Amino acid sequence: MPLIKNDRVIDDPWLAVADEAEIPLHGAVLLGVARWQAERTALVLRNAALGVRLDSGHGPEDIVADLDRLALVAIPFPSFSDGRPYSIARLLRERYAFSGELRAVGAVLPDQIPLMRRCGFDSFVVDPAIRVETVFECLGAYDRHHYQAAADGVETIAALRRRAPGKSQTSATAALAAELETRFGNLPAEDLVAQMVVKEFKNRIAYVSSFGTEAAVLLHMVALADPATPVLFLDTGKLFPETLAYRDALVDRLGLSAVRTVTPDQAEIAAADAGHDLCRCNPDLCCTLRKVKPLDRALTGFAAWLNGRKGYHGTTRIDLSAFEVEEDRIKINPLRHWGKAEVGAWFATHHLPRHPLEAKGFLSIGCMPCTDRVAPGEDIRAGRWRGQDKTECGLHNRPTGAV
Amino acid sequence: MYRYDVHDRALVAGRVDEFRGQVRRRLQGELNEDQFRPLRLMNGVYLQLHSYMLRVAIPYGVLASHQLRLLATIAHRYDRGLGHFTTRQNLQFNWIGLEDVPDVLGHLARVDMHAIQTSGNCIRNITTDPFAGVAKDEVEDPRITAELLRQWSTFHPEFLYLPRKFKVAVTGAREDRAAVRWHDIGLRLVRDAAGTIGYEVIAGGGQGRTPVIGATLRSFLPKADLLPYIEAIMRLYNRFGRRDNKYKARIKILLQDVGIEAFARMVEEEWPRVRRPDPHLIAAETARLVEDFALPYRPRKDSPVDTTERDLAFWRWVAANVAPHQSADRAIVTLPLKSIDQGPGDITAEKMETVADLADRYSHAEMRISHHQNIVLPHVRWTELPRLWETLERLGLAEPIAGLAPDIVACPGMDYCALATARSIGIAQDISKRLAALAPPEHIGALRLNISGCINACGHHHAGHIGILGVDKRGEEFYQITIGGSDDYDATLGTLIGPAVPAARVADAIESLVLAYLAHRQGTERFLETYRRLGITPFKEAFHAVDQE
Repeated sequence: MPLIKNDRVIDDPWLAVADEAEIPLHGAVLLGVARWQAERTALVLRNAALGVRLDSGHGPEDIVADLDRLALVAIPFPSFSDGRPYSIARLLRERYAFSGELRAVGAVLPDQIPLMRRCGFDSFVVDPAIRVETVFECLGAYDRHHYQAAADGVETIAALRRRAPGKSQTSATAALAAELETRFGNLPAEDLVAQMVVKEFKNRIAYVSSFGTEAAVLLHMVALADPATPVLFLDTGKLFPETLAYRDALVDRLGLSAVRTVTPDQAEIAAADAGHDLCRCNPDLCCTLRKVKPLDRALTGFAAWLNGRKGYHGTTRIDLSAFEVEEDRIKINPLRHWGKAEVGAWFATHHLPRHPLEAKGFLSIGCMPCTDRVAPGEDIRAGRWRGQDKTECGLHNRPTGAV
Repeated sequence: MYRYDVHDRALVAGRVDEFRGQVRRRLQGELNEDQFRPLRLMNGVYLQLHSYMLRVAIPYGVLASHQLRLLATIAHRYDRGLGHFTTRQNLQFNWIGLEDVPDVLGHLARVDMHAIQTSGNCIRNITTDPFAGVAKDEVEDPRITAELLRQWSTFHPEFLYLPRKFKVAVTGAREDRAAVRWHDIGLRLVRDAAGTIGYEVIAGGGQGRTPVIGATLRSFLPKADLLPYIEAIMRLYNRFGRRDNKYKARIKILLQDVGIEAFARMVEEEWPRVRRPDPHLIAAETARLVEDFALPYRPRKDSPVDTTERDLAFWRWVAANVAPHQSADRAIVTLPLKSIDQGPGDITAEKMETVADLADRYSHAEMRISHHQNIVLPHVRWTELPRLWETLERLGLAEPIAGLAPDIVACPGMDYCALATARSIGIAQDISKRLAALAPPEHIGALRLNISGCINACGHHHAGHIGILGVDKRGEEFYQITIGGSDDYDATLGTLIGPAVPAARVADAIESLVLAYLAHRQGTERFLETYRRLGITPFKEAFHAVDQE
């Protein structure tokens, strides 16, 4: 019968003596518990290591008084499915502080050795029919973390979580985005917003809004979820006065309590746009200074942000997924599947006010110099940077042009 | 719902690898069936009548839509396009090849699911109220306790080879929707006189061939003492429970032998000596769970007013299948899986995908599986009920029967199970048809019918207002009928009404009991109340009149 101890197969230094057999004068012997109890006085005088086999039906209580005289306790498993020895082992180790060898004998499946080790066994006698490789394969399964404490003193998962909460709780941003897409990618917009604001990114999420023609929809959803959600409003300094007025009206109507106006760095603007014509001679740089960089600064500390891009806004926005990763931050597009009809219906159902410029033919509104009316039948964003190749400000797909 | 982190994932992934090796050794003949059995059972694999069966754990019945989609894929690829929701809030695949099980477990692991401890003599899936966390009558969300216990019991090295299986249920509501008195351990979240929340600990309940209603072991246990207290119970059971006879091995028998007071004293002696988990860790873990189980929206106090005129059919559905919610603008909707052409709890892969879509659309991608084998959408807006109802009508999932007579609970019976001595699915169908012809279900009112195909009582017939047990009499299927069982806090055991009847007469017999109730009920009295007021005699007379025919 191979004996395994310290991850090795070793020769058994103990002599198991049958109940009727004579006990040799010298050498370590392993005796049944009944014999130990019967011949205790004589055995104590014997000057050699003593082991006791705690036969089925006996418990730690039977040997507790003598534990410091015993160098080995062997516990037989009557069958693979008899779990009593696990409890006995834990009691011996944890309650009675037995520090000698604790040996599993009898019906020992190698697959069960990891459990036995957790309960305090440190040597195992396995069936010779079992391949040694299998035994070591099973021993490998021991190197794991566990939910509950046992006799092996291995750190629990709860302890690991507490020790490195940041690392263990959140996976890498890209993996997190993929997981969120799987879980919540099909949620209706309003539910998705609530799920993110109230739960997934509670206190770590902002909504970035231009207060344009369709912004009221997402602002409303954010307000329904939690009106204290930070709303970042990018004031480039070149917005329509109507936009500013509309912002104030909406904030008031929706009860949003954490609207932050984000402005460009005045020193940067003074250096790059002294002639106030940057928007014409280098619109990409203008957007970078007035929108992209201020937003990056404003998003510091947020793990995620919501925005209102929609697939119907043109070719650049057709294939949006709900969750994207940008600058190690999750970017969420709850309205990506919405069309004009859905937007209109939401305004109507909830009696939301329209942007004052919409009626005058401005369907997508940015800064004054770079926004034009849109003719019937044109793409909704056709009035943005009209006559240029530029279609996006760079908040969503960072410009590749030289800055 | 609970969200796995890297540690939970590593634990499940490790187990998939381990079982893959064990299956390989079994298929190569290195493990014999005797050695393999405890290992496969630990991973939810049973040997059934026609095939292996895999039981997938749905911890306390909470299921996400992407998980249900994966279950649909598995049903398509590895089963016959069918799954079966069990009375322990799990899902069974009845036609799985053993060689495919490791791959299936691998797929499950990718959506944070597994089959760990869904069978075998260990602590099984912790069950709870399907309305947990949204129920209006709740002291505290029982899922927090259930998840703490799930983690504590998962691969607990001391308690994987108990004398027999061990079932734990937790409830936090005034109404018991988790049948806590029918479990090996039932926990009920209660407040003491000072308003502090703790547990009433109930032990020794169970069905099977010796049905016993659990007794209160301790009327108030402080929350912080839960794990050492439960560990003490488990250790005493593991050491002293009977192992010589599998029919006397459940903890209920130990409790009967020792006596409930004596056992309670043993636990009181043992648990203060059990090593306590670090209270800071438990607090941190609990805080994490509270966050995980928080509602994904702000609850509201005002409900929208809907003045639109609606179909009577809509209101029938609302009355039966829609329950009040903690948030006044929302409702809890039950989707009964009790169509007449399928067994209770059965669901096709296509329907799984459709229900997953509905959960996305109406319920924050979350579902519950009830121990009555139905699906629950826990987060539906009142304003969306009409549209949801229309969709469910089209899908055949809007039968207005939740908690009513056609909402029958049944085990798979002899159609699938190797242990069964009689069929249960066909009987459920017969009864459904007969009662449908008799009266609309809401006229019959709240009535629980439970059918088990053998004395192992997986269909919980002991706890049914009417319970039906299939038995084999010289090669013929007969059915014993009991009356007056209940799985509420005031749990009672059903009483045998008379001699067993052959399969063809079961519907007659059930109809006679229902007619007797309709003849005797006063006012809005439910079936069980009429029975409790009058006793068994009028029902016995009705039953015998049919039996004599």
